[in-house]
Amino acid sequence: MKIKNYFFSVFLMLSSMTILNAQNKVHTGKVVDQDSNPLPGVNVIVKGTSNGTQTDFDGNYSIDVATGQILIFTYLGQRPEEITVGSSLIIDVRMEEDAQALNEVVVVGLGQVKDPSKLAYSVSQVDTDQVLKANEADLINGLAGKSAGIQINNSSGLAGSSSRIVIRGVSSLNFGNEPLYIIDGVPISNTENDIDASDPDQALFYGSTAGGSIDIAPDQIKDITILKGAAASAIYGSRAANGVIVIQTKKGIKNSAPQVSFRSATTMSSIIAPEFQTEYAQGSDGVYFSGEPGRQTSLSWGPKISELDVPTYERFDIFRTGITYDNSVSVRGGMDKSSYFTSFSAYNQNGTLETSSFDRYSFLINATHNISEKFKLNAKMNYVNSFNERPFEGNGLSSIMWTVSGAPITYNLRPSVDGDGNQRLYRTNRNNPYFILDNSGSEYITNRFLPSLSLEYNVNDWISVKGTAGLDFSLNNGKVFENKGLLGTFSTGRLLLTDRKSRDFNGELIVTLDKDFSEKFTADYLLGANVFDTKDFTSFSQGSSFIIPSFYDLSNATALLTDEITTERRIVSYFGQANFGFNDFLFLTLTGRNDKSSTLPKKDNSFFYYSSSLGFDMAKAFDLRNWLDRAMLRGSYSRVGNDAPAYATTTNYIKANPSDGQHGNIDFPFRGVGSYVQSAVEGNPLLTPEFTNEFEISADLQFFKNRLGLEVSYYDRRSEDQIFNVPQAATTGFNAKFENAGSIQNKGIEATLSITPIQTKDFRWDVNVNYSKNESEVLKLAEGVESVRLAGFTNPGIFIRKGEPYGVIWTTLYKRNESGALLLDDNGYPIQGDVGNAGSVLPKWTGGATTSFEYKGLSLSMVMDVRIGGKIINLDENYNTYYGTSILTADREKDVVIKGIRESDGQPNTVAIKKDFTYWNQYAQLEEFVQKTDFIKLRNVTLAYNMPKKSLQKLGIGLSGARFGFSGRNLWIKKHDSFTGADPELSLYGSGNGQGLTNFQIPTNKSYSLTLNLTF
Amino acid sequence: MKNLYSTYLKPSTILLLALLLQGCSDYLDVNTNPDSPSDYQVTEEVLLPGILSEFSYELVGGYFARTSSLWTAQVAVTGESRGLSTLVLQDTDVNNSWEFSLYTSVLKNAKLLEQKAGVNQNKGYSGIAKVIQAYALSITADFWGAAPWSQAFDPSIRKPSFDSQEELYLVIDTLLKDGITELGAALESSETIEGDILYGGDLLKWGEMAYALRARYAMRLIYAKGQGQADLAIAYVEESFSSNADNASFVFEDKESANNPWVQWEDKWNDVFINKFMVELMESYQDPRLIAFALQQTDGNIVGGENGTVIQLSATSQVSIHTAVGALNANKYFVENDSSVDWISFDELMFIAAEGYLFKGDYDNAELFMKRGIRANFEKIASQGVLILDDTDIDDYLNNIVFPTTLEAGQKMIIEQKYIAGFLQIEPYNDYRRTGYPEVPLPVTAFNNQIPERFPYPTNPILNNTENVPDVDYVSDKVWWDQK
Repeated sequence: MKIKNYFFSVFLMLSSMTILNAQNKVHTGKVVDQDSNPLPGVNVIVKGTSNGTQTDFDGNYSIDVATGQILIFTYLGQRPEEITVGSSLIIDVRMEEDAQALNEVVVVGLGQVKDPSKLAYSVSQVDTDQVLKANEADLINGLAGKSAGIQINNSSGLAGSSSRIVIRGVSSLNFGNEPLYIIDGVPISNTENDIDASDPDQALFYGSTAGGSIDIAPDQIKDITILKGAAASAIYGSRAANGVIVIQTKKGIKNSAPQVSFRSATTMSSIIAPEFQTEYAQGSDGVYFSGEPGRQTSLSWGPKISELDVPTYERFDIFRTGITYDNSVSVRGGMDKSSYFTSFSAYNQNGTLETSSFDRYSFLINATHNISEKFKLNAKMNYVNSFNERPFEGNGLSSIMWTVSGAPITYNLRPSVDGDGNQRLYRTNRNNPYFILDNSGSEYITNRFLPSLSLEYNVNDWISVKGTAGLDFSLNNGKVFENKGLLGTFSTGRLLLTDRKSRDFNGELIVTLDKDFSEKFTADYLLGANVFDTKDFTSFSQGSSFIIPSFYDLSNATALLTDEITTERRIVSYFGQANFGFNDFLFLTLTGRNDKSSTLPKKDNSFFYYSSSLGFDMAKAFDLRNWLDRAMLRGSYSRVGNDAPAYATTTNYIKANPSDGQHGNIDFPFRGVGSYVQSAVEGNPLLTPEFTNEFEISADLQFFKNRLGLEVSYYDRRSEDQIFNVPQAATTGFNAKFENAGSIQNKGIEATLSITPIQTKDFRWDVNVNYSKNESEVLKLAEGVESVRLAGFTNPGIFIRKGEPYGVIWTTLYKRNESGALLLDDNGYPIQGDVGNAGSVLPKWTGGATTSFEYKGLSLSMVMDVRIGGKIINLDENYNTYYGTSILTADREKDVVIKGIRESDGQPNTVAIKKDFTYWNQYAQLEEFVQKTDFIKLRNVTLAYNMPKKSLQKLGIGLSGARFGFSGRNLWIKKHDSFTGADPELSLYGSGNGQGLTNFQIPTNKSYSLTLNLTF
Repeated sequence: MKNLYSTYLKPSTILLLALLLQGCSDYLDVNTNPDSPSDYQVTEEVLLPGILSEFSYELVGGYFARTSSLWTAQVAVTGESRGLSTLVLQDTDVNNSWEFSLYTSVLKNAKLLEQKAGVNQNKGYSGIAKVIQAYALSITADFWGAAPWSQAFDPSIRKPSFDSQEELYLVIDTLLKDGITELGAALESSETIEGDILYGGDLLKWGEMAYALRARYAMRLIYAKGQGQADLAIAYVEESFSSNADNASFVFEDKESANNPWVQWEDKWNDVFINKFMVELMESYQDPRLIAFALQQTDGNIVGGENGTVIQLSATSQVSIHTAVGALNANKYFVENDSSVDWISFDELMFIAAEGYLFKGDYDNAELFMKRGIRANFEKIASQGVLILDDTDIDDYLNNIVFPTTLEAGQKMIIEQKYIAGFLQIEPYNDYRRTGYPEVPLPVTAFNNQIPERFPYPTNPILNNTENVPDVDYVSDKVWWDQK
C-alpha cells in the first residue's frame, strides 16, 4: 500500500511540471517530414531553457517564445532542426530523415557504438520489446527463444528463480559458464545467493536461488547486445570467455521537455502440474492403509479407490494462483548541455505458494553533462532492493514437493498437526507439506548499488580519452529457517543467517584515436588499461536447537556456529584494438590484451591473448545494392585467456568437520576445543592460464531493403589447459588437485532468418526464425581421469566424461547385449547392469520463432521455443514409482511383454509381467527415469493496442501515447512422450553447471498478463 | 578492528594506486587464502581433536557401525527397497567412507600428525598418531580386504597399488608396536599432550589401548595364523585395560551438531528400531539390558522390527528417543545425545581372553573371562545411568548362564554375549564373519542370499585408480582372515 501512495505522489508532482513564461508570445506551427506527413511527438524546446513542448498527432504545436530565441526540434530518426524565432508567429518546420540515425547501430566492446554493416566481427542484438513482453522478473527468462546460439533454462517455478544462460555451449569444465554482464560499460556479477556458500551441493537438498541478473529491471533497458564469439568479446578480457551480454540502460534526450512514461503490468500465474495416477488408494499389496498411526505406509499400492468408500483429495491444493504487479515510472528529458533519465520500478510477485514471493524496487538515474566543448561527464546510479522468499525444493526432507508428490490422494494432509501440535502424516520420516510451509523457508534481501562515473575528454577531433570507474556493491542478507519439530537435518530448529558483502570495482582508461589514412582507407585505434578488483566477504551464523519453537532469533538457539569466507581477486590489464576499413567494403579488426592476475602463481601471472577478424561486404564491393543491401562475409580467429580460481595454488587447512556425508555432522569448536585439518583438495603452485581458441566464419545477408535477412555462422571453439579440480585416487591423501588438464571443444552452426512478407502502410507481418546446433565434446580431462561429477549423487549424477558431450547422466543401467538389446531374465524382467552413461543432457539443437502482425495500432506477436535432443534424470519418478503415485504406475494391472532378449537362451522375450510394486521396487533401474527433454513451447502470445493519438488528445490529459497489452506465457508445451514431468526445463542446480537433474521442484508456471503503457 | 566499510569504499584509491604503481607487484599479492591458517600454525594439538572426532563420528560411530548393526540384525530400519538394510551395496554407497573418512581425512591427517610430531621430536603425539593409523587401517582392511598403504600418501605416486589384507595386518601390528615404544618414551620424558579429547593426554591409557587393539587383531587372525594367536591375545589383554575406567570412550555433547552419531542418524535420516532377532536373543537369556537398548511400548513390551519390511513407527521400539512416539521408560537410554561411542572397551577384552582360553581348552578361564566381560558390560551400562541394577541382579543373570563344554558351543555363547555387549559397534560384523555367530537371519526382503562378506570397492578408486583395484565379489568373496 505504501508503494502505491508513493507512486501517486511522484506522478502528481511530475504531471504538474508545466512550464510557462508569461512574457513571451504564443507561436504555433506544424512539423512535417520530408514527404510532408505530419510528425506527432516531435520535441520542441527553447534553446538554453527547459521550456518545451511536443507536437500533437497532426504535427501541430504551440509554444511561448520570445523573438531571437532559438527553437530546437528533435525527433528520433530525423536530423535536429534549429530555428531562430523571427517576427512570424507561425513557424512550420520540415524535418529531414537523418541517414546516420536511421542506420542501425550496435554497442560492441568497451562502449563503442558501431554500424553493424561496417563490423569485421558479428554481434547479435535482441529485441528489447519482446523481452519486456515476457513480464518475467529475470530478463534472462525473457530472452528464451529469441536469439540463435544462446540456450536459456528456467530452472524452477518459484518466484525469483535463477535461469541458466549458456552462449555457444559450455567452455569451462568446472567453473562458471555464465556470460559476463556489462551494464553501461561496467561489468556486474551474476552469482547466486547461496544458502550456504561452503556447500556446493546445497542446491541438491534445498534448491537453487536467484541469480544476479534478476537485479536488472527489464523496463530500464534500452538495448541488449549479445557478443557470442570470442572475436567480439576478447577485448573484454578473461571474464568474457563465455560471451558477453552488453546492456545499455535508457538515457535522457537533450533538448527535450520532460517525458513521463508509466508502465503497469499485472500477471496471473498458475502451476503447470505434472500428472499422477488417480485410481489407487494408499496401501500395500492391494490392502488399504488409512495413513493413521498403526496404518501408515509411504505406498499407494492399495486397492482401487472405487472399491473403497473413502474420499479423495486434490494433490495440488497447496498451490494458489500467483499474482505479479510490475509498475514503473520514468522521466526523461534534457537541455542543450545535459540530459537525464530517471526511473523507479517496482516488481511485486506473489508466487504460486504462500511462501514464494519476489519484490524488487529499482531506482535509476542516468545523467550526462557537457562541462565544456571538450569535457563530457556521465554519471549513473542504480540502486536495487529486492526481497525473495522461497520454500525449499529438491532432495531434502524439508522439500515441499516430496510429500506433495508422494502422498496418497486418499489421505487428507490437512490439518497438518494433530491435537497435541505434533505433525500428522500418512507415513514416517517425512514432513507434511503444509507443515513445511508453515515452519520453514528462506528469505533473501539484496541491496545493490551500481554507481558509475565517466569522464570523456576530446583532445582534438581525432583523439579522445575516457576514464570510467564503476562499482557493483552488493549486500545480501539471507535467512534460512527450519522450526523445531520439522524432520530433517535440524529437527530441533535452525536459523542460518548469511551476510554477504561483495564488491566488484572496475576502473578503465581508454584512449581512442580516429584518423583515417584517406577517404577510402579508414582507421581507428583504441588503447586502454583496466583494473578489476573484487572482494567477496560472507559471514554466516547458524543457531540450532531452539529454546522456544517458532521463534527465529539467534538468541533462541542453544548451539551456535559462525564462520566466514573471504575471496579476493585482482586483475590488471592493458589492451588495444585497431580497426581498418577499405572503401566501405573490407574491414579488419585486430585486438590484443594482456592480463596480470592475482590468482596465478606470482612468478608467472601475466598472459597475452588476441583476436583478428576480417569482414568483406560483397554487396558494396560488387555494387549489388539495388537488391542486396548487405552481403557481409566474415572470418575471425581469436584466443582468450583466463586465470585460475582464487587460492588454488596452495593446499589449505580447513576447520575440522566430521560428517556423515549428507545430513549429520559435528560442528567445531567441539567440547571446548577447536581444530584444523588438511583439506582434501591439493593446491597446485604450477598453474598456468587456460585458453580458448575460436575460429568463426559467418555470412550476414540482407535483401530487398532489409525485408529478408539471413545470418549464418559456423564456429569451432576449443578450450585448452582448462583448470579444474581434477579428481584423483583418494589414497594419495587428496581426492582432487587443481590442474591445467581439461580440454573441451564446441562447434556449431547458428542461423537466423528474418522476413517481412507483408509491409503496407497499415499492415506489417514479421517473421524471425532461429536455429542453433552446438556439438560439444570433452576432449581431455586429465591423465587417467575418465569422469568428474558435476551434480547430483555419485549415482545418479551428472558427470563430465572424456569423449562425451558436456554433461552426461551417470547411473545404473539395464543389462544389454552387444547390439544394445535389453537382456531379460526367464521371468521377463530386466536385469541390473553396470553404472554407466545414460545419455547426454545437452540438446542436439534448439530453435526459436517469433512472428508479429501489426495492423494500424493493433499488434499480435508470438514466440515459440524448440529444444530437441538431450536427456534429464527425472528423480521424482524414481521415488513416485516406488510410492505408487506416479503416472507410470497407473497401468499396474496390465500385462506387459518387455521387448528384449532372454539372457538364458538368447531368444526374444515372450513372458508378460506386470509393472507393479515388485517391478518398480526390485527390477526398475535408475535408467528407467532417464527421459527426453525435447519440447516445443508457445512461450508468449501478446495482443497489444496502441491508441491513436487523436483519441488520446480528445482525452485532454496530456497523454502522448497509450498502449494496452494482453499476453499469455507458456500457454502450450509439447513434450516428448517419455517425459512424465510437467516441464522438461526444470533443473535442480539452477544456473549451475550440473544440468539434467530434476527432483521435487516447484512446478513452473503458465501465466496471463495485462499491460498498460502511458506516455505523457 | 579493521573497518570493513573503509576497505570497501576506497576503490578510487585502488584505481589510482593500480595505475600509478602498476609495476608494484604487491597489488596482485592477494592469493593467500585468508580463511586458512598457515602450515606452521597447525601444530599437533590443533590437528589432534579433529582427527579424534572424525574417527569417532565417521568410523566407530558411522557407516561401518551402522552396516555392522544392520547386517548382524541388532537394529532394523523400515523399507523393502534395495539398500544397506536389504543387503545391497553399490560402489557409490561406500565411497564417502573411503574417500572422505579414511584416506583424505583420518589416515592422512594422522600421518601428518606423525610427521609434525617427528620434526618436533614429540614422541607422544607420534605414538598416538600411529595407534590411530593402525586402527583406521584395520577398519579399511576388514571391510575391503586389500587396500593401498605402502604406496599411499606419496606425492610422487598418483595411483597407489593395493596391499593385501595380510600385508596390511603386518603394518598394523608394526604401527602398534612402534606406537607403544614411543608412548613409553614420551611417558618417561613426561611429555604433555594437548587436544586429546579421548584420554585427556593420558599416554598410559593410549599405550593400553594399543595393546587392546593388538589383542583384538590377534584374535581376528586366529583362523588365518593358527592357535598361537590365542596366547598372543591373552598376553596382550594382560598388558591392556584393567577396568571400565580405562575404556576408550569418546564422549559427545548434549547439543545439536555435537551429539552422538547414532542420535543424529535417527534424528536426521531414519527411524532406527531394535531388531526382532536381537530382542529374541536377549529374551532367551532373560537379559535385563534390553530395556536400556530400546524404548518400551505403552504396554511395557519391547517390540523388534525386521529389515526388509515396512515397520510401523507407532508399534515398534526405537533405539533412541529422538523421533520416538508413545510412552517412554523413566530411565535414560543407551543412545542419548551425550552418549559416548567406544573405540574399544574392557568388556570386549574379557571376551577376547575368554575366546583365547577356549581355544587353549581352558574352559574354566573361558567361562570366568566371559562372565567378567558380561559383568563389565552391565557395569558400564549402569554407570551411564541407563540401567538401575545392583550386584545381585548381575549375579543372578550370570548364575543362570551355563557355560557349554565344547569349543563350538563355547565360542557360540562367547560371541553371542560379545554381540550383545557390543551393541551398535563394528566388532559384531567382524566376529560374525570370523566365527559364524550369532546365527543371524537374512532380512525379510533381501536382494542377496547371504550377508555380504565385505564392501565393494568404492567409486573413487574405480574411476581414478582403475588398473590397481582388485576384482572381488563383495557378497561372496571372503576376506583373508575369514578362514574358519
